Amino acid sequence: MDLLILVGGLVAALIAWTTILPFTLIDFRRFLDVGTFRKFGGAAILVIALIIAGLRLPKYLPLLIVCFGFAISALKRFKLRSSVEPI
Amino acid sequence: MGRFVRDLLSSNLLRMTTLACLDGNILSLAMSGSLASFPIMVVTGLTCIAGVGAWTSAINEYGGNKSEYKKKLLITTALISISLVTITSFIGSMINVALNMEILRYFSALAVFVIGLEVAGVNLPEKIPMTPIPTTIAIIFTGIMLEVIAWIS
Repeated sequence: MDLLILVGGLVAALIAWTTILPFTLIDFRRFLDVGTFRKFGGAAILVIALIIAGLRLPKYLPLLIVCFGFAISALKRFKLRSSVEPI
Repeated sequence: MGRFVRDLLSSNLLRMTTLACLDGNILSLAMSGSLASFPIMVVTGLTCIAGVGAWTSAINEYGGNKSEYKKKLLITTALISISLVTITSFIGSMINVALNMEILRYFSALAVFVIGLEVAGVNLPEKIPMTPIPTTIAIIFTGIMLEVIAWIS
């Protein structure tokens, strides 16, 4: 057994969780239209499923979809906020 | 306690972060010895374990939620995920014979597909009818069973 591989797995998991935790701390509902974001997030996960199944899609496509969804839902939220501001 | 375990098992974040252990990604990386190099560790962490699916699930399930129960659930999810990845790396470093993960790959894809539909807002049965087993867990378990049967035969 190679101890370095075992440590490698542990380090990889720790790196992964340090990127996940910030997403759980911030309330994104204040800045994003959750309904829209969920649709784009769902689409990104469906693309991941197709990639796992062996379809040759670009690996960065889910990230692109999420970034696009992020921008669209932030814009939608911003529009909603500005439309209810008192005159 | 029962509710805690049920919520833990039906957590999409847990499934998204442990899927790489079940579909053979981590196992094959560990068996090839690639996991010993730091750049591969970083790439594995950011693409196989975390990634868009895990980040989206984290926002959906825990985004801004500061209740004690949710905190406990998140910490347990993280601990299970980290332990499972480490154990898989351990197993991978122990065995040198690569298993054929062809069947399990399709079942993992199906499980992720179901998670994607759930996140997008499609109403699907959360559990197998008349059982407490979450649908995605049942899909992955079926894949593991078929993989083992194919490996034996």
